[in-house]
Amino acid sequence: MAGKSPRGFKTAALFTLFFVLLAGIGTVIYCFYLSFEIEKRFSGRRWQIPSRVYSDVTLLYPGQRMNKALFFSKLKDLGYKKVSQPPKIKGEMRFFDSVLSLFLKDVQRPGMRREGYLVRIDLNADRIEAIRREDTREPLDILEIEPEALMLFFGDEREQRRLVSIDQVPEHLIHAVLAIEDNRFFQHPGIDPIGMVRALLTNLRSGSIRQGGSTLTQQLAKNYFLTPERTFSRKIREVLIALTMEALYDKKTILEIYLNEIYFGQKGAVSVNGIGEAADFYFAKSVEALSLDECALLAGLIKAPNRYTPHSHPDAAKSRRNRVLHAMFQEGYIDQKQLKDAISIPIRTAAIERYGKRAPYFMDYLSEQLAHLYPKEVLSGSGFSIYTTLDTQVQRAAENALSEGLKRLENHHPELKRPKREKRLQGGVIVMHPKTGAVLAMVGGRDYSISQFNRITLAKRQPGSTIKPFVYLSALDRLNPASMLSNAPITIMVDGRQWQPKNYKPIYKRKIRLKDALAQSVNLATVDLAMDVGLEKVAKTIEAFGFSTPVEPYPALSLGAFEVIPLELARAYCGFAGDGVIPFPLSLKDVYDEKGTALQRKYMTLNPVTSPSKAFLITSMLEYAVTRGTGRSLSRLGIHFPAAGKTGTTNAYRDAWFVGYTPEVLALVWVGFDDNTSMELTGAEAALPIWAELMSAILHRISGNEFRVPEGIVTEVICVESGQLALRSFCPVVEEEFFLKENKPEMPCSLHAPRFGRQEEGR
Amino acid sequence: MRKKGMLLLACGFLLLLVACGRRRIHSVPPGEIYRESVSPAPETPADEDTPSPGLAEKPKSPGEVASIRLTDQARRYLEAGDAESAIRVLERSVALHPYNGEGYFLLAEAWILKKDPGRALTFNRMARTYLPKEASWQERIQDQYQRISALK
Repeated sequence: MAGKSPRGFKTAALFTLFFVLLAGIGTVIYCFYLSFEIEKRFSGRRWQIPSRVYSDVTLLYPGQRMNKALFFSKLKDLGYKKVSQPPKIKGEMRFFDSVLSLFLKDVQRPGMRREGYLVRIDLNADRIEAIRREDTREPLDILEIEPEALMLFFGDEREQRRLVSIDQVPEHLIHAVLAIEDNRFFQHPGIDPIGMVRALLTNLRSGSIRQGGSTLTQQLAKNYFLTPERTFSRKIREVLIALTMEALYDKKTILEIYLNEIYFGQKGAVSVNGIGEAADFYFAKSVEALSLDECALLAGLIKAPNRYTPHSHPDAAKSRRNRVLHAMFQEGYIDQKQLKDAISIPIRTAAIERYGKRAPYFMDYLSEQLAHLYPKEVLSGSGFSIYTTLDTQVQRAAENALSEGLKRLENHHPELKRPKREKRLQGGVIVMHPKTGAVLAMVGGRDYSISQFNRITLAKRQPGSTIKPFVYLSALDRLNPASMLSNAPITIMVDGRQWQPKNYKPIYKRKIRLKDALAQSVNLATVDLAMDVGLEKVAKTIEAFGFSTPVEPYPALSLGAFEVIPLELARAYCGFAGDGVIPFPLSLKDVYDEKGTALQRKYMTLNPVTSPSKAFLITSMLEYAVTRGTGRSLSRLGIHFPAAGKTGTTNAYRDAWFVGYTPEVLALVWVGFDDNTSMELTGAEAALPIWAELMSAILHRISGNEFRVPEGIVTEVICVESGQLALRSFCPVVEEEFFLKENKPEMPCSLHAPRFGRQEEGR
Repeated sequence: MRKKGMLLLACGFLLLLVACGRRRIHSVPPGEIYRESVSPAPETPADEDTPSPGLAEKPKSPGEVASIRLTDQARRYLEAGDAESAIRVLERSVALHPYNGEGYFLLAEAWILKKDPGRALTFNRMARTYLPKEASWQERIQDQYQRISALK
């Protein structure tokens, strides 16, 4: 037995050695496998970062009018916080005694960089009097307010982060994180047995878990590669991953990945990850601009972000911050004075900037365009910055005007109410810049949560009388605004059947001036004109304005009895507002990748469709339509600036339209039922008041300037009754009128000319 | 005597009235067509010395002033050869003031720099529409047009 014993021991030892060796080889192989996995993850995209969609920038300048309510809402959405004292930190604002003091935030986005500064905006009622930069006392001609984040393209993970380089991170922040989370980070190889023992002793002494033993590398391994469950095998893997990571990467790289990865709290349904996003979320600052106390607060959050969040638990946040500061002092990172000063600073945070899908119909329209450019996974993972043309103030005004307008209609006309929400009266609004084609606002329906169908970009509706300006345009080579048209009943054979157009209301004159026929939307005179010009020519003129729907040369075409997409109708009207050129409707402007490289740029693109002089002539007649014609109620509704527009009502009152514009902004409003039920309301009754409410709200977009009279236009004084050159003292009602230079009345009034003397000679 | 005097005075007054009436009728005869009709877009005489004729005579609205500032900024971008930034600024400039002829002129320059004659030509036409008819501008527009044609 005794002789066997050493042999047995030797065998056992050999077996043990063999198993240890085997385990060692297995561990090494496993670590190799892990190193491949880690390298694979780190060499490719480390994080799936959703692309962010932004509105357009807002320009402020002295003399500009401002809708204070809309502008302050915008600032609130941008995360500016109202304070009662003069703003001291970035992201604060105060409105006192007609002065808006605004401490602009830092803007660090691909394609857009600005360091925040304090600015003073003096207001006089609704007008900006002066803008001044407070640090330099320099007056500003133009101030840019940063774009708002409108939407995030999320993939499976609803995380938001903005990446920072370790070189951007202030020393205080690194020290704060090390002091509170892993003060031996630069000494240990990924795991820290000394730290673990120290944590164990601390916890034993206190009788509770006060200190974790995990190093930063282990925390990173846990977050990046492992699931949250607590098992022994998971802990082993965590240690192995940490060791492998340390073998593969230097400390600086690991710290950079850690700071970009770590969870910092919740912004609604979206998690805030990484120090870059956290700095913006909590302090509206770029990471470089964080102060010592802010660094300590953020470092303190890592342990339990939702427990220590300064937004809802300021006291807990403060005590945690102070604990971090004390730890920094103990480690020698800060001195006594720095500690004292930082501790005395109260907790101050930026307001929470809104996320979520805003302007949802616009976003759908935009997403459709983006889908043609990038696959979904690229949009949800590549962290693009997508800049759009949306003006959030105009969008808000359009949403309010439509919602209030439809409610008002239902209240005044209870027969329009429907019990089912999806059957309710609907509407749509689009606002464009008539020259650049920028879509400033889009409301495709009454309630996106009920119906996502975009009535501006997808609906095909009859335009009714809103098509008439294009019909009249086709006649301007031969006729002029003073030409007389027939208002007599007419019967036209269409495909073997009789068609008898009728006026909306009786007009007893047999002849009517072209300008009045358009302003009062007279059907008989319009059909007379279209038949005279030729239906083929009318159809060609309409087609030239970029409608994608078929335009057939039927007589009813002149009354808008065909289908159009509202967006295309709005764009076509830009041709009148924009001196004969139609713009490509722009919603997407630029796409940048994370590094700030421009991937896409969309530019203002124009297409000439008619001459500036003809376009102006239509505009001048549509100005008349809103002062004397079917749009005359606009002045009662507060529209006192130069504007041109046209109402539209279709057969059986199925659609009500108003399209109107100034030199700088064009808006189209449509109201109707999705199932084509009659409303018994005209465009002037249903759509025009919504347009008026919208335009009255977007003061910052309206200059009040007159439409410019282009070359090739002359004025003549004409007799309103004959449409010919007025004779002084004989013609009872005269008017000064614009004409094309090459097509103006040449004959004096034959209706009121005396039958003797030199007047008979004419001119 | 007194009666005679009164009669003479009345006659004199009547004569004066007739004379005045005649003068009025003579200066504005009834039945004439109104002659004051003028083209509201008169051609400005050529003035070589006008420093910056881009946006002309009348007092400028705040939007126009801001638009000119942006145009100046864009010009600096163009001078530095940065057509992209110039285009973005000019698009804002013409959005604030859609009749800013110089804005369109510089947009055409930016597109020449980007070697896109199609777009450059569109903005050259717009510049022609909105810039004053001064010889200095017309020459510049024509010169620009020729440079665009050479690009094609």
